[in-house]
Amino acid sequence: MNLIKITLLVVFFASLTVLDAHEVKSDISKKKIAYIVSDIRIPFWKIMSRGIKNSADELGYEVSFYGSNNIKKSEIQNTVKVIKDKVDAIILSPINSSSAVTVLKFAESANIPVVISDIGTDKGKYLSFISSDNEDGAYRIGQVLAKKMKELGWDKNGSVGIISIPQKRANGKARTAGFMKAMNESSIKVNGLKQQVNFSYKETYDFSIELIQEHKNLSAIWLQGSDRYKAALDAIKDAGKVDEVLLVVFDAEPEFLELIPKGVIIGAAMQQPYVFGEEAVLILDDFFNKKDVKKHIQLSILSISTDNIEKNIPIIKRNVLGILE
Amino acid sequence: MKNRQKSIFYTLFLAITFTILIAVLIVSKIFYDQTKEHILKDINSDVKTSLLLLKNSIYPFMDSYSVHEYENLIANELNRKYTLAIVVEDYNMEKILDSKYLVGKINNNDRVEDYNQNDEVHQQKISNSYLYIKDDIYNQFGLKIGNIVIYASDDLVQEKLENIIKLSIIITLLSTILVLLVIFFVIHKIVQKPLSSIIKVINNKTDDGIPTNKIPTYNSKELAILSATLNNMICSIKESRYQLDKIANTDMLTNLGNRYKLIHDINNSTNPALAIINIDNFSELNDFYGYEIGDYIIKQVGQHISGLTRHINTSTYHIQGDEYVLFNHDIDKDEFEKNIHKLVNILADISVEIDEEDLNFNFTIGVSFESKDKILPTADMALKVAKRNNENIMIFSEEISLNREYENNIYWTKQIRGAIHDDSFIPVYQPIINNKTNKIEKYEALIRMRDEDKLISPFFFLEISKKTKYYSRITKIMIEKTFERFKNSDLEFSINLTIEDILNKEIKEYIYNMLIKYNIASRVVFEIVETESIENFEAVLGFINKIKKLGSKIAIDDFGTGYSNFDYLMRLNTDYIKIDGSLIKEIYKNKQAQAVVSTIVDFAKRMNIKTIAEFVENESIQNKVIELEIDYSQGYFFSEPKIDI
Repeated sequence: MNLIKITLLVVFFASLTVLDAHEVKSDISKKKIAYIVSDIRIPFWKIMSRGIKNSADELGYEVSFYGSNNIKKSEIQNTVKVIKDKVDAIILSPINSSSAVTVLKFAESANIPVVISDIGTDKGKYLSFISSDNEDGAYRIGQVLAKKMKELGWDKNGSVGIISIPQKRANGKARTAGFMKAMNESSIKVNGLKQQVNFSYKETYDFSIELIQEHKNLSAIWLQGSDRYKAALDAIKDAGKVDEVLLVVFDAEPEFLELIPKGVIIGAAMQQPYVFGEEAVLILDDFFNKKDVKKHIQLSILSISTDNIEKNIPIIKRNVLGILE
Repeated sequence: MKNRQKSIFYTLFLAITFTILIAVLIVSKIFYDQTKEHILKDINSDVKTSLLLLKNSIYPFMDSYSVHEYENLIANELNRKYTLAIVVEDYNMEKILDSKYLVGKINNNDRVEDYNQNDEVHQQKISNSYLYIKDDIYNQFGLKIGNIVIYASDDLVQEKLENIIKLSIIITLLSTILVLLVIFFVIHKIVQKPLSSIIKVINNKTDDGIPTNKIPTYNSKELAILSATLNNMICSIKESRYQLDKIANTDMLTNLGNRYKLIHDINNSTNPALAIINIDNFSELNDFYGYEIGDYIIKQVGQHISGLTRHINTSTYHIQGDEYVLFNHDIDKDEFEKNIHKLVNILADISVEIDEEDLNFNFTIGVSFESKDKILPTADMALKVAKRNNENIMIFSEEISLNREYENNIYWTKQIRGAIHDDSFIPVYQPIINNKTNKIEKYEALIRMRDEDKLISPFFFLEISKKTKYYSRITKIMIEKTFERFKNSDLEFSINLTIEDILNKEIKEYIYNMLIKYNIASRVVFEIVETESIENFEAVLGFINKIKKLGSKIAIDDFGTGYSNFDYLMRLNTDYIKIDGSLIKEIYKNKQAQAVVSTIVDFAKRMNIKTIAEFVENESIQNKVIELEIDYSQGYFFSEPKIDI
């Protein structure tokens, strides 16, 4: 009898717990998240949106995507739209840190929490900001280059040229600082720094040619962005320096899975956009569940070289390239 | 009493302070106004510049929906000193939002805030702004994409103007203090110090208030002039003082010391001795020779006396008319007395030549050795007594002093009142002798006051009675008693009347009534005395005519002295002339007296007026009287005045 009673009570409480869990789940599924992104056509953001989508699906949030095509008007229109749609939260990857301010202002006036995923903001209220540890990533890829140059014996006489993203950006400054630290530690000279303005193929090509021509002992080019890696490779090739000038890159492209093992590109500091997306939704999930959230989360950057690419391919595919198998 | 005089420097400082304050305030006001105008222009210019700059720089950002970028531009422009707020209306954003979209920045207590049109503080600040300028914003295609409003604050203006006011106050105070200090030191050095030294020199003065030292000269032109002027003034004052002292102390006629100097010398004496010397009968000489000669005589006699006494260290003064004073400030009594006695003999030999004839003089001297405050009146008293007693020298003593008591007004007023009450005024009668028959022909009634067994002369009480209400009463008593005495007699008698009696209506009426009552008019001769004091001649003549109608006669008493003259005789229709006793007393030895009397007698005869000689005291006089053919004689040579006749 007692056993029957106890069994019934256990079943009853278990049923209550299951019901309660079902209700919570149901409540969460009602939450709507909007991801406003500068340009969803760009792989980095596409991969990040994939992380958001998968994470939101897993946690039961409804998520909608608003690409601004790098047009501020669209970004504002998207912001106004999501506010009108009464979303519960916004994940923002702004066109730039300045345009982020306007988005944050509208969101604040509508009392909508915002998680900024990369780029950052000049000012304004937000729930959390997720960024890559650019300096550390650049430092570690710098170490990869230094190691290679030592192996080749180029560290004494050779120098490195940098084609950087604009140095007024915080991530640009951080990347340069981290890289310079690694070069200094290895006593490798850095000759010349060219800042990208329009991020065109031609721009990167020309900068690469200039660096090669201006510095006869140039042994390596460090490209702070991945999308124009081809221009740099073409310039090295055209300059007849294929075996004399190395290329290291920040960020990653799917082609790198082949080019790095071949040594065409000797290494890349790979951000993990998929993790950005996952992390943004997890932060919002914590917020919705009234848990404490960190104001600033820095994600590590993968330092991939010929030496370690093989074993990191699954991670690269998922976190960097957003390829889910 | 509180001294209300203000220092010239105090007044000067007040005036300068006031002037500086006004001047600096005016300058400050002008500076304030100009600065205000300048600032306001500056504000206008600044706001317009800001507007233009923003218009030209903001539209690309507005066109590209870079709200934060143009917010930063606005924030930068807000750093301008006068800008309170900048508000941009973005039409592009409005199209997206379907509502008005304002972006702006506002300075709120030195903190740049995002402009919020719903914020009351922001609205309040904007509504209080000094000015605002609004303009439309166009993009590069000329399309209106918004507008911009810039609000300017006058906080800085107020602050600047407040600073100007504070600065003006400080400048005013400092400049006032500075100028006052400079002026104080300058004035102190070039004005106050010299003036103080001038005042010090002026205050260092003699008892007469005249500065003893000269005022020094100064470098400053004005003070040098002042110094020279004051020194000239002091010299002039000293000279004037010397002249005044001389005038005050010197008798201008004789050049001897005057009464003022005498009193001064008496006051400074230690053991004084003083003698008053009077020329006997000088008034007759004056009458006879006139004042010019009289003055000449006074001057000559004065010089003689002064010359005689100089060697005995005695000063000579001429104090009035015919009186001189000898004074020694410190001398033994006996020695002074001896000197005076010697002097009497010498004085007898003094002669002054007039009309080629040497005139000699008799002198009467009153001497006193009393204390400083009493010496002059006591010497005078001694002189009067000497005159009365017909003595040459009289030294003042207590006895004289006692007699003097009788002359005390209060004493005599009391005595007069008592005498009236006790019926003590009585007439005495002195006979008048006809020199042709040598017989008593008439009597003069003279008044006396009976004091127990003495008969007191009117010399003591008559003048005093004139000053009291008793005089007319005494006149009436004399008339009544005399008339009573002579009512049953055939003798003629005379009664003295003063001008005051004649001018008194009550007395006149009384006389008329008594003459009628006693039917005695034809035997009464009224002797009019003091004819020199007739002012209302017509009234006197009226009286004379009236009584003469009644049968009475008129005699002019004491003729030949004072101002009496022949004109009076003619006009007063007189019957008798009584020649003054002072002339008669001298007649037997003094040629001048003889000449005067002879002239009077001669005139009287021609006018058919009878002459009477008074004071015939001895035979020599009577002989001379007869020789000069004076009709009647009266005097002690014949009989003293008696109660009973």
